[in-house]
Amino acid sequence: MWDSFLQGIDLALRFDTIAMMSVGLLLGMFVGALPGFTTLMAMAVLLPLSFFLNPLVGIPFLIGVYKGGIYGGSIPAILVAMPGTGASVATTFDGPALTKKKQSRKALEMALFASVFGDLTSDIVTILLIGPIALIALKIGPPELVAVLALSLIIITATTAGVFAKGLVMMVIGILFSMVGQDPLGGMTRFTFDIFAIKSGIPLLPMLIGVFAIPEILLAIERKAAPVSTSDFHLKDGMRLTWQEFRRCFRTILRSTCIGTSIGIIPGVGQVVAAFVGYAAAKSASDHPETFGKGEIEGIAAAEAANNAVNGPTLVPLLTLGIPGDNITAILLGAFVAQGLRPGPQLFTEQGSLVFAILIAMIFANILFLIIGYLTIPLYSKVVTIRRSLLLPLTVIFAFAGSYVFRSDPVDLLILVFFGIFGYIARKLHFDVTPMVMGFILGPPLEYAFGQSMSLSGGNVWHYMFFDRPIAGVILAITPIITFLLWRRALKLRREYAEKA
Amino acid sequence: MPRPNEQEEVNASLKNRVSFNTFTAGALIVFAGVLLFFIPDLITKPKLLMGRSLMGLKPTLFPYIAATLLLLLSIWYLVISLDLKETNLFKQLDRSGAINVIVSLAVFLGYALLMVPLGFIASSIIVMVILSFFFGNRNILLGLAVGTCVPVTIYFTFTRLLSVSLPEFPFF
Repeated sequence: MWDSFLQGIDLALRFDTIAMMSVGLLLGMFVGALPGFTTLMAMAVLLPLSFFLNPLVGIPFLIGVYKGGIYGGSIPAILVAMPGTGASVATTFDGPALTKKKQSRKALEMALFASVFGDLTSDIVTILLIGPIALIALKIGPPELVAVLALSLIIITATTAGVFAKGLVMMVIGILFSMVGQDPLGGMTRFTFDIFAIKSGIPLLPMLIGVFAIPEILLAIERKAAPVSTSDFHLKDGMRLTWQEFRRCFRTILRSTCIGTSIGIIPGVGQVVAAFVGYAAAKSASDHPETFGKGEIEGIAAAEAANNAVNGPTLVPLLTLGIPGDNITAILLGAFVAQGLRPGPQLFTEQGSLVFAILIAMIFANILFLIIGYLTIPLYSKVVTIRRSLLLPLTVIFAFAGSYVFRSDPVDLLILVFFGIFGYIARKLHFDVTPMVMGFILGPPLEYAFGQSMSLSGGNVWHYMFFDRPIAGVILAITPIITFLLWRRALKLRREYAEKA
Repeated sequence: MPRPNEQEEVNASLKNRVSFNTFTAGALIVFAGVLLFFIPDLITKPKLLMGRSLMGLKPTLFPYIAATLLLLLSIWYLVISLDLKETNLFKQLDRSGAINVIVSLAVFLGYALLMVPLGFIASSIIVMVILSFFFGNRNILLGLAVGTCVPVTIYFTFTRLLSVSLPEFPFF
């Protein structure tokens, strides 16, 4: 593992990796800054670009888009009170008030520095944690994998937005979608209706773009909105953040970083919860909580440090077990799969240096993030006013081009439109598509591991699972308890968020 | 025996609790039932050797588990749907919003069907120009300029820089 780490440092220090990460950061910040456009949409649409680059270039590029996008979401949150991503909702509590006081520059700088600190610290923790967890993951066999995958699917569903029953329904629908094509054990054709184009299954990329990007485009299209604002936000000549102000907020940033890092490791919980928990903790620890919500710079520091501290650890379940914790890491999983890499414990034995190179590239990305973010702050007042009438068609073209290049099959475009309509209807009827995507991605490995476990059990499944493989049995037994606790906590946090909103 | 007024109140109360969630749950129950019935016909049967299947695990097992789970979850969903207070967001969509979405979807479908026959550049220029004017851009020159430059740039980025293919028009 140590040798892989050292080789990883060597591999990460490439000009093209750093250049593409910078491009990714810029694109991510740009898209995150656009009101109505999300990081998720940017990643789904830009995912195809990463396929045709070297994995050491393509995956850091997407990570750059991810990091830039999460920070970029705070820009419209501060300038025009519209969160660019769900993670920046907590930033709207104090950001717009600071903009009204002509301190928007200070707010953006605090958001940047807090984001970089939270992200960098959590990335270092990720690198320290991932090796030991990967070593444990290597000892996992098919029964343990069944238990872990089932637990992950249920946890992700329990912690996503909306009613739990509806989330479980979507998860099962995703598993059913994953069964179209050939079964992973025997290669028998299932649910293809003799349509040749789907004999090898529903392709992942058009499905991801369709279900994440197209509904966002359609929701923006409903309003056919004009530019959000034409104000001058005083970004070039506004008040800057001082060292004393940053030092005053440092304890808050550190606390939020710890909160975000802990939350990031748990699949399904994510940036939104981290931002709210970080904000709430800062407010209750503050000597002057009455100033929160009225333009308190510490509020921005707390929310932004927490939501960016999730970025690194969220890769831990993805890289060690192949389990994406949220929709963003589902897209990163798509990037890995397209490059011929299957995240999971075997990735560390087969391509350990590559994995560490990607993680180390994330550390460099934070340094670039700081420089690029600081230099581009004066441009953001222009970005939030770009016409949607030109941006929306551009996004559509990119989405379609990206879906086509995956297999050069025109049927993929129809799949894109189908899942776009599906995702749009789901949004309107309050169904979260994340459990569906997770079910789709994790369904085949779950079925494969299940089949292997059944074969190994020799017909006596219960005895095998609970006595011969006690770890699997224990995980299955505690799944309902963990699910209930997480679901109750997520429900409580969502109620608090709804009251605040 | 409930009086007629009480019965009417109960009926009205039940009617108020029935929502789009109830209908969706009902549809899912029907879907799961139909799926369970037709699973054997939708999955290729494994080859037999001397009357025994060559596969250890039937390819229908997991689909049956998933479909049964869907049925049970949909029944649970049906029961809780009577107490859910969610609003159907389609009802909040006004006429112009609905037209925007329908027209856009029609354009997307047309784009999907015409990209290969017309080529990426031609079809994308048409889509970009139509959509940008439909979404409110009134600067004709800007719309045409962006509508032409963007597809050409994307085409050359993908085909020359990334070495992947996009549909070509017969002449270019």
